[in-house]
Amino acid sequence: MSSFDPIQISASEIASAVNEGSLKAADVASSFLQRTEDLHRDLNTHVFWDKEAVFNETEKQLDYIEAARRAQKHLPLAGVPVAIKDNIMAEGAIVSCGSKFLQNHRAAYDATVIRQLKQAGAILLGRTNMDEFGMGSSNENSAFGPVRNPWNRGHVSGGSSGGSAAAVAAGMSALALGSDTGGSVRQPASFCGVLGLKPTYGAVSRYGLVAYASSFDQVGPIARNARDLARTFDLLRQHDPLDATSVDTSPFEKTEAGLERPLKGLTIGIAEELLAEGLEEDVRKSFYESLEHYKALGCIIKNVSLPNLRHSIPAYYILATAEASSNLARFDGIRFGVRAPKPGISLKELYGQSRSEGFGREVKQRIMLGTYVLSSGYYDAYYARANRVRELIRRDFEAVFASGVDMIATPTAPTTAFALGQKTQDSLAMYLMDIYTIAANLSGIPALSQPIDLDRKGLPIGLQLMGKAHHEGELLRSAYQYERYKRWSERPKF
Amino acid sequence: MQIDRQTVEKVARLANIQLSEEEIEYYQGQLGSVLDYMQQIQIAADQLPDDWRADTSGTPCPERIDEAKPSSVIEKVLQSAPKVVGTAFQVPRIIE
Repeated sequence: MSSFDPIQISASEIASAVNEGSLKAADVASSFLQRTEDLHRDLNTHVFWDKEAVFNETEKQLDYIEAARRAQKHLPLAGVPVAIKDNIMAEGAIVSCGSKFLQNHRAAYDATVIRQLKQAGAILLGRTNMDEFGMGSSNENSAFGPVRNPWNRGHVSGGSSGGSAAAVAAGMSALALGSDTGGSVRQPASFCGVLGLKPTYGAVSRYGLVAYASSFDQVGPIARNARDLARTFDLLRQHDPLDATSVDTSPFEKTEAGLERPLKGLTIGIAEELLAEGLEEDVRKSFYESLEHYKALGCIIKNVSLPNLRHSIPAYYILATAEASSNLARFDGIRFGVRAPKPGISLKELYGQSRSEGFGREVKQRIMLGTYVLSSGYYDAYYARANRVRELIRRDFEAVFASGVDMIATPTAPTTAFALGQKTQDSLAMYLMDIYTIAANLSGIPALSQPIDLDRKGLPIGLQLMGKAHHEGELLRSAYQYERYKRWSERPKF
Repeated sequence: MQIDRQTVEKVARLANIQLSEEEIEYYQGQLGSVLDYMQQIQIAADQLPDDWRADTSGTPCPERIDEAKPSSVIEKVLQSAPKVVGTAFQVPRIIE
């Protein structure tokens, strides 16, 4: 077997070596399987992990990769292990969404993104832990326990795609898929020192992604470097007739092909009004330092104003919970979910008991919040108002981009990974962690988080770049050139 | 913002969720503080016309041709049904 270090080798290097025949896909799979076997309990990154079962499931895919190699067909992710967030359908897998309500739910079909990954030669290596139904910013709302941060086991991984981000950071997988409704790919990527992309709404298919808030949800890749992120995004971005919100803007330019294009002349907007209270000093310092690096790469830094962004969190939590209260109505113990076992009760009682026993505390809270803001007498004051604020935020971005700004930079989160248990009794304090990420979901624009530094506690700090709709290429090439310039290659110690 | 017990109970009933005593107390506090914070959107300066509506202002969803396609997922779907009779989901009796 060829020797390589799973934590250092990139997805693109694996694919090249497998396509050339210098590395066997089966050896790559074995190596990452063993690493996951060794580390997953410590970090609690995976749900329903069964090494033998996962290995057996890779066989068909290994044959497909080998056949492609023999036919000299270049697969972009040949033999690359990808960990999958547990709310994405992969035929035959338990898809629990981090909920005990769905602990027996087996996917009957592949999500479009899974089909795309398989076609690209990727090997699916495990299902990752997450906040229940994507509702959380720390991964502490999982029915299967919190994910621990690979940089410090006493701290959270971020959420809701915490298992995916931690698995990539710890080298259990070269890539992962997460989903991002209010920052759920970018914030855990930031807390775990890896890169995460939330694509433009409609760029990547949601077919087979279990819905939390449908007008916000997007599947996004997580990787350890910008080239791997670009390559994965390029193959996921495709019009899908099975998702009515999928956008057809083909032919697409591959973002990976444009990574080397110089950044000279790109304008990055900074909204000082967003950088006020709650921002940790180490994060602020690294944020401004990273802007200096971007300046050195030829970017122009410009102050901009986004006056309505301060209303992002209330608008988001009104609209997302309203959508969740509707989307999660299907989990009733009849069609989906574990049915309450008590005999002789009415149908209404059966719904109530099943949902009460099946859903965790935060999910019940968000369903009730959503029910409240949609209920008679409150609809206009909350839901209708929040929709108007969402439009105002969208127009704020439109105006800034129309003024010649190409990207907007913020920290990804106001702090680095906080201690486990620190915010679990205070919903509002947890919601405020999403202050920088939510606006991109409200307005549908793409946003990327990249690691830029470590704080004085040794925890990663992330920079967020937000771009114009369908301009992921600018975000990815910026991250790529920054990465080469700064040579940030810190990895957690094991 | 004070959320009273009756409001929590009413919302839980509308959402088809049964709550324990302890949960009612917990959600009274949490919903109160979150809804309080949410009220700040009332102060957003709104320059939109009064008749602006979210459901009519966006781009319409594209339609695809409505055509029947063979599907062979019945057995796979039934694997996840809470209870099964033949090829159907078994549901509790609702009429005496």
